[in-house]
Amino acid sequence: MSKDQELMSDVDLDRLLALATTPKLDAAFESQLLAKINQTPINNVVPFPPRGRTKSWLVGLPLAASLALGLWLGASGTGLNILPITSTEVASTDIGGSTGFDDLVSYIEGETS
Amino acid sequence: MTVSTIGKGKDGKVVGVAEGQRSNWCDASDADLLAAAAKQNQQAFAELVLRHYQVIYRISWRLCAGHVDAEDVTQEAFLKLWNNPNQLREAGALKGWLIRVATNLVMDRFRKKPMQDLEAAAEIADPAPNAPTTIDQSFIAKRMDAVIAQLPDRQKLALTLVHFEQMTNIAAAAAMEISVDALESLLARARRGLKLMLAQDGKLMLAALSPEGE
Repeated sequence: MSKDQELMSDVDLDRLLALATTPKLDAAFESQLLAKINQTPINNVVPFPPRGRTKSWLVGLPLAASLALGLWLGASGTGLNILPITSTEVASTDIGGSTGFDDLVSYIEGETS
Repeated sequence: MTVSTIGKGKDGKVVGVAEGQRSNWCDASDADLLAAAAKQNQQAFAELVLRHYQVIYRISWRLCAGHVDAEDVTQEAFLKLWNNPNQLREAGALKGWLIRVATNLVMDRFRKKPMQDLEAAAEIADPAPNAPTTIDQSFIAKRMDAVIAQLPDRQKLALTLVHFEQMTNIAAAAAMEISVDALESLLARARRGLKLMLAQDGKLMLAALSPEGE
């Protein structure tokens, strides 16, 4: 016979559980508790003031305006005319004939070709 | 005139409130009472206490294994609510919230106190070692309290909520903040644990309960 078969049934367990103590508080508890509440300082927890909510469309407005301006300038071709000329020139990036990673390795190894 | 409960007096102090005055709040919903309690209305809070303190005490008592701390725990749980009723967003969750607060308070107390002290002070005395020759209902009650007290805390809480407080599995799982499956698993393990602990004297107790055994 297995161990489970030796154990009592659920019905039997429920019969025994039904006889367990049901504790009850006496009526004085309530008055004691409320007397204690009376002694407790009121509002000892101060809530944070609510944060002012920014209107989301106000944030989006300048972004949308900027996008619209960019599209208009790009589409009409007038954007290039109003940009400063110097900004359209490509700056010289000649740094002594170095061509990239291979030159860097040579430089580290002491070669100066 | 009978003083049935407690309320706020002229000077703001808590005093007895007659039946007629209490009826101002006894029909109110928990949500209304909480809203009023948030404005420091003690009468409304007294009604909330009246509605829920027995349940919270019974659960605390079971978790404290009958220790006198159960009263303090119940009191402390309600004081936490009184100090900040706004922390509860939904009135429907009030009972579950109180159960969780009481459970946490019990766990905190057990952690702080050495186990020897609690065992020495435990009010549920296991009658099994000195079993009387006659097994009566008070013996069975004490023995059942003692074996329940030996269950792990979460199993004990699950059993208390579902079996003793007649909460549905869904409500009990919500109060314990676990899934229904997890609650059912806890319940199954609790029942099996009880059966194992009662393997010896359970049959004797059942025999004493049956008409032939008397």
